[in-house]
Amino acid sequence: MTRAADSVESGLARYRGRVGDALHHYFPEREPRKHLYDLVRTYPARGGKGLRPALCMATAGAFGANPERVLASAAAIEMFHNGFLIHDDIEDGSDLRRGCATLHREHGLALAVNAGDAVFALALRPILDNLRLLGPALTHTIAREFEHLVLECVEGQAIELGWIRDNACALKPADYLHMCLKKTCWYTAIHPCRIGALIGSGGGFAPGRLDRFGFFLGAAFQIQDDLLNLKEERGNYGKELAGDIFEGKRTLMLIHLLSTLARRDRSWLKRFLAVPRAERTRGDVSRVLALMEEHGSIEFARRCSGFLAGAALSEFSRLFGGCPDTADRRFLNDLILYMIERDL
Amino acid sequence: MDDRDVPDPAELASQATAFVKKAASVLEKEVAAGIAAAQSLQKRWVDVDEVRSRAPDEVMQRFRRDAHEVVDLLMDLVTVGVQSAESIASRAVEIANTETQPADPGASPPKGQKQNRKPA
Repeated sequence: MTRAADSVESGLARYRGRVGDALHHYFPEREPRKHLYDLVRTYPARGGKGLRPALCMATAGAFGANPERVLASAAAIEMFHNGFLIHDDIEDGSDLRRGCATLHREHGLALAVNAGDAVFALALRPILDNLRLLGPALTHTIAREFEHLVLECVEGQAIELGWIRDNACALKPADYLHMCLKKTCWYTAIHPCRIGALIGSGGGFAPGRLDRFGFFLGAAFQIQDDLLNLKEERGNYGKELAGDIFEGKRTLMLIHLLSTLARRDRSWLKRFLAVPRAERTRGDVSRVLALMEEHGSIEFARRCSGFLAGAALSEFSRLFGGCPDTADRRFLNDLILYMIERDL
Repeated sequence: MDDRDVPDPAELASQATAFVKKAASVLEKEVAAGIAAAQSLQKRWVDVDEVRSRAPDEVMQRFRRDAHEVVDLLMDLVTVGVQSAESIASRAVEIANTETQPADPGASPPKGQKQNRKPA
């Protein structure tokens, strides 16, 4: 493990511990446990990376905030993320999440949808708790950040699901970037950093200055996550191997492949993408993977994620160059370095 | 790019550079669209605030004008409904006569002329 990877792992564990305590506080200890609150706790208990709240807390810390002031917002971000995961797994028809059965596979569709709704409702409490921590003006500003975060995410999800439903096969990298910005980057990186900076600066920092940094970082993260989906063994990754190909997800690799294939292979791939997920075979999925390797789609995506991480590092130096050398600032720096060095 | 060739490393680097530039451009467009939408929303808020901040007399005048407009709307509905019923039509005329003698004549628009109910 490289120094940056080591630093990121220990940093994530540190932030995750604090946010985990906060989540425990916001998940009710009351009935109905079996059919609701136990389900609400399921994904957080499986131990995700906690990247989003870590970004929020680290940015706030780099701007000089006391961690107590940002904890409620970081918890709300993680709660929204877990709510999105529950519904996202249903929408994608996924079988595995963090190494175990998805919530709807374990408890059925109806209870899983309801648990997702409950997580979103519970996430409002920490946002309201900011009134006591931050005062009305900053609480209002942060609440609007959350409003934008949620709307962008559902709009991005609609775009992606629409592509699968309509079997869109003429997409361009710019289409991917637009979808990725809306579905992933606002809620994974841009808003966590913006919220952290707003709290750290007491509302004095113009959060739009972090948009580029967050977008580059979030897009690099998403592309790397998609690459890992094709590569990692089930035990390490926690989802189905090549599950994105089974789902027909329009990743950067698939969009690149569709634009580079000769007519015969392209027609075959379009037919493969047109059939329902359940009818796709492992043999066909392996063929798509082989075509991606053969036509440089995986290498193209690997380069794009590396270049995006490099661009994020450049933005980071510009934005955080004047901040004191604290553990929070070093975590952000090492996170980007880790994404650049990562063996994908 | 040739359909069957794997791109060489230099070409891949060039494509990846273009991809990052495209990312910056996509973000700029999205943020600009977001700012425009936020300004539009802000304008609507300002309009409401403007109306609320007006002097009570002016607000009352507007209420009277709006009340007369409601009478006009009712008249239109009644007129449509009475085309084949003379008895109801005569009642509509009575209402119309009442409407032409408002409590505040200066606030009433000429008969048949609609006013915009949206705040100025």
